[in-house]
Amino acid sequence: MIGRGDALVLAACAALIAASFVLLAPRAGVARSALVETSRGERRELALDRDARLAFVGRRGLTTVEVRDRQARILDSACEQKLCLRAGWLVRAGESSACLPNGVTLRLLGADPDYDALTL
Amino acid sequence: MKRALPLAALALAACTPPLPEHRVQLYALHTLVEVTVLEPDPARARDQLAAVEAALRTAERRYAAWGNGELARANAALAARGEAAVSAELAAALRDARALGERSGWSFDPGIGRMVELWGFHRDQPSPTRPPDPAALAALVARAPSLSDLTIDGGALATANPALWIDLGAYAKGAAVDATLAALRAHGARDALVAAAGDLCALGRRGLRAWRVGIRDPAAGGVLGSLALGDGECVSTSGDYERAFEWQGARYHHLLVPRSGRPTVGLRSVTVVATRGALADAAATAGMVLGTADAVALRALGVVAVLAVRADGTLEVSRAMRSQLTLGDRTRALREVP
Repeated sequence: MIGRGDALVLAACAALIAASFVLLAPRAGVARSALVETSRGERRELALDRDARLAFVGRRGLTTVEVRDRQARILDSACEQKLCLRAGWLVRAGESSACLPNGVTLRLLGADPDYDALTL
Repeated sequence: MKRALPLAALALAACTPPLPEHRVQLYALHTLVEVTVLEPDPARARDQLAAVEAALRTAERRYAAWGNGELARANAALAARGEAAVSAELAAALRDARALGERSGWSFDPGIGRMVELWGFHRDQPSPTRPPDPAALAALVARAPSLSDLTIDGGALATANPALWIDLGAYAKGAAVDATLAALRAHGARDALVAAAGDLCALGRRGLRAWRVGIRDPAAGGVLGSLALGDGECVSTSGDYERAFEWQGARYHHLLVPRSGRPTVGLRSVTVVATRGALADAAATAGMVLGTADAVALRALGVVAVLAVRADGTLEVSRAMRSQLTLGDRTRALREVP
């Protein structure tokens, strides 16, 4: 026989479990950090809570990556067409931008990214 | 009890830890290839990624149309003597490409390598800065080079058209991704995503959900939406923004209409979903040449899921594509086509 007190405890436990799913589950699409990779083997994860402007050495020269207000973008790159600049600010986990001629890529990481890959 | 079973399955699934993700970036076939494998055994994951790289390097050597590739050597021999001998694998790819060309009404035609060369789009660098001499282009168009000019008998190639130069640029990346999927399967991979710039194929799932691929927006930059890819499905995007230059106020890009030798008009990009990468690659290019997402035109290729971005930024989406596509901006002007 379940008493009134037991029922209250059970209900509280159930509420706590339900709340943990909402509060502790990774938020879909929220970016945790920015990952820069180069064809020269360099791999660097940048925190998004610290604004920064960093240059990476690629095959043809420098690619500059900027982090500002929890967003990241390729600011400039040693390539002709500058397609990587067209991607603009990356905001959501899974978004990426690449300067293929210079061999430098930028991608936002997160627990449940919106995209696993992007068509170019 | 019956009601409890799905709940129990859901609870168990929620408890299953996600498979470790192994990811590698490679530069192959003049582009960036990103491979993601979900695999519990790190040693097996290493073998799978090594097999992917081997498959890509093989494809690179086989399909390069200029320089030192097998296809480049065959092209040179065809131009000099009208015949060439190739491996069984390259012969099979050429037979496949020719069949796709025929079914597309030759809107996909890999026989126009000389035109690509005349425009200067055959090499990575330097990018062309002006269109070719109109008389030279007209003379080449008059010789009507096409893969239909090629006969394939076993590994023996022959042609009577010396203007034929085979460029598998709208086929090779898709075929290479197909080869990587075969290599992954052969090495026991169940869940993987291979992305070679505009050509992507999925194997299995990403945990509890399908693999998700973002489609780049050629008009506004950023991402226009995402596609959920099923097991074995491939997506390919062909766009006018990949390689282009401006000359006297006009913009010229690398996707040429085989019959005119001039860049396609009307669409900024075409994205298709198909059951294999080579088919998706060829169909996306055919869509750019045809200038419509109307899948009726592509149905002969067996492709029904098509998305096109028109020059004015509006979208054309086939009914089959609509069910797989999630648009980022739901208010965007969209026209549904058959």
